[in-house]
Amino acid sequence: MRVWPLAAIAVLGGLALGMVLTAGPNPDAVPTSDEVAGRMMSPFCPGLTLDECPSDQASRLRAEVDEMVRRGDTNAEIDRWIVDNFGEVALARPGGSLAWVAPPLMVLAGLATVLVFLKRRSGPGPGADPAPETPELSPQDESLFEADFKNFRRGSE
Amino acid sequence: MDVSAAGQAILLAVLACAVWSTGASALGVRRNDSRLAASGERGLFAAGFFVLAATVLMVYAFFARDFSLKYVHGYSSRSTSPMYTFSALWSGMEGSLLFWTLLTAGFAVTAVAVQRRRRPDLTPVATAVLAVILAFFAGVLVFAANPFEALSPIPGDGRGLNPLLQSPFMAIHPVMLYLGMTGFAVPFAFAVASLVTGRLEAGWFTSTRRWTVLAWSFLTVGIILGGAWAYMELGWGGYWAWDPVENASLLPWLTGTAFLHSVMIQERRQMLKIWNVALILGTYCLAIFGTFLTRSGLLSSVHTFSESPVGKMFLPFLAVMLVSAFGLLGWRYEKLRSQRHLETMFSREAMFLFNNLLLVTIALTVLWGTLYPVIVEAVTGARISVGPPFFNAVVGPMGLALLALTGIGPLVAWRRASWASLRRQIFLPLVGGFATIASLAVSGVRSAGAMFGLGLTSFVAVATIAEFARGARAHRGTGLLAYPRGLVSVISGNRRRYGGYIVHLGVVLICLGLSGTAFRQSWSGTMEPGGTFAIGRYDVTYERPRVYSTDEKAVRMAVMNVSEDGRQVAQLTPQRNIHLVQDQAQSEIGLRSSLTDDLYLVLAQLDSNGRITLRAWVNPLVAWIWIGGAFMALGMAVILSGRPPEQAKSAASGGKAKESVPVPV
Repeated sequence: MRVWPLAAIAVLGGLALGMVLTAGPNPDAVPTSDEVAGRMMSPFCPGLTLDECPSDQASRLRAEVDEMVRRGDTNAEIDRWIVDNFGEVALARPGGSLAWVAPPLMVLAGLATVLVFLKRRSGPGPGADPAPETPELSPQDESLFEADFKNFRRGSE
Repeated sequence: MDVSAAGQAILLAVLACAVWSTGASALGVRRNDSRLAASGERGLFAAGFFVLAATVLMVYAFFARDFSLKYVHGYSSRSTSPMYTFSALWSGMEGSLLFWTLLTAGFAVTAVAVQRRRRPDLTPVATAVLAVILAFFAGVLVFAANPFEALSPIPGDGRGLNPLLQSPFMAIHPVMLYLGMTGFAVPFAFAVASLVTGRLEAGWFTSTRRWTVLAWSFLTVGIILGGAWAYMELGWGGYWAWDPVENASLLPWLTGTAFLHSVMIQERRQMLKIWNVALILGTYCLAIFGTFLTRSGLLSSVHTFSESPVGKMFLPFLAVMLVSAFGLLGWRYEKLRSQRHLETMFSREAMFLFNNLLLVTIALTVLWGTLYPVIVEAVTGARISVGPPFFNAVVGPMGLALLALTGIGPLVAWRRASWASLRRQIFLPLVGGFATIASLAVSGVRSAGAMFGLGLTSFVAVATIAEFARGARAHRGTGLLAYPRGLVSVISGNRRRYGGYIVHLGVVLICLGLSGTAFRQSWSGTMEPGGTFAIGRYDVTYERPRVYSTDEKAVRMAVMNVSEDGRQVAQLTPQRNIHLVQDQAQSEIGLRSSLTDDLYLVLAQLDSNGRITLRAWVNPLVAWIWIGGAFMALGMAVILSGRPPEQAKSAASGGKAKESVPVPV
């Protein structure tokens, strides 16, 4: 198998998949409060989303989010509000494409490597097994084995 | 007794012994001098003894309420219960590093004591490696994170333990996690020893396989207990937040899991030698990296210990470990190259390769997501976050693919599988999977993700159970209990294989529990006594507030009656308490758990008029995560209870086994 076409497919596929993932939710749709709280890092609990943060201030912030959702604010508007008030650090979904493109690239590059490895390593080639682990049976041995096996099965039933 | 001075002297003794052990062992290897090597071993044992002494002294200081030690003052008080007085040992950075050192020493001493007669060829180098690790940790304790630092003037009482850490889960979870992380030091050291000595053929991993399984088992249990702690104590309705500290524990688990699978290819086919060495070296490096991450203050997280010079010591050590371990691997590359070939893409070996690809890519993705904010900040100065939406979107599909392989892999034969045999075996699991999807569709479920996930879970469940059924049928005798007896006989006859399948069943149950997230319901609001709301199948009524104080905390509790179809099924009392010593608010959840769902109540506020602000969740199927964890633990116990792998197999695989017969632990 040629390596370069496979690598090119992996890279392009990874980029495409990454772009799809980067896109995120539809900017014009109105989200639910849970969706917003799940993609906003809480300014009050380091490492936790607003949805997960048990502090009192987080409850008040969630109430604010509820209000925006009730008003019919869209994803884009709410995300802008989050960035304006708390900075980009409050978005749990990283904005840049690089973050999203890398994982699919890794998967596809890995897959390409495994396929190349399998292809190169499969079948007899230079340095193949000097002797198979289970030598082929001669026809006589095979018929003997079959007969034995039949006897064994009859015995065990 | 001046505990501080005594403790510091003992830590210096640890450092001195570990340094001596490193030097003597290394010199012993170089000069081929067995006396020097033996002296190195004794140095390691002495270091282990002194670490134990330091730990005993620290525990004594805790129970004697010796607040002249800064650490004892910071993590306990006179009112701390005995259990949490003991667990305070690993609740702060300095103590947890001492505890980590103790566990590393415990593993190192036991491994060297057991292996020095069985693998005299590898043990001296392994001793040197383990001694370097011990010396590093002793150095950190002496120079950067001294648990015996004195406090003056001596306060009358301590600050007490963080209420979040006062949980039985927190008493046991770090122990398990640390046992897992430190346990990987043994296979790491022996892998390095095999690279240094060039004895790569005779199965260094067979000698240390049980250590690897043991470490992996502890890590698995530790991670699950960590989830249980977050669920029961943190009060956010979930068990996994993709927090950097959680991710740090997941990384070595992922590569360790990859190793436990791919090592089977090496045993059977003598392939992937380089890959396996790389995996085990990487696993321990990731464990050290996790320790660095949690203690450096590099990333902000709920668990992160405060910023300290510890991070500055860890980074160079990690760099040296990585460069030297992988440098050795590069040096031995030619010797490790396999002469064997995969015969077809459709074989168990290939399945394991795909399994490894997924596990390692998930590990790299988690690492990438965890470090991405640091990279962005370093390059652009901007502060950004990578949170659960990223990890769920990216890791989720890879996890599903991995789950599918868990079902398919065992059905595919080694070397060259036949389609006819696979078709026969895969039929029933496929029926199980599609039947689940159909019944979900009929019962009104419309989430494609949940249907696919649960269908896949059923597929793997049926495939795994069928493995047991096939085994039991082959081993069955006669009589009424033929099948159960057959099952017992097949499991005890091949504990490693069937223990592995029990672990897989545990994974299936955990996936069942995780899939419940798709059906999660939540409610939040404010109410007066007598107020009521409905969530899932429950009606929840706020009966009355209850407020009282103890020596430790001011308790504010809401008494909530839970009914189902008009019949009361539980009374839950979510609390929002103020811990007096720490002046810290903490929620105690109200939980009604069943096999179908959990009702989870969190009291956010209770004001003086008795009005409460409450959050409620119905989390379906969560109990199966803990049951799955128990299955995994059972499977691991079955694997570890088995006889050590036969020498014959290792000898056959080694070719030069006479030189150094690998006798497993």
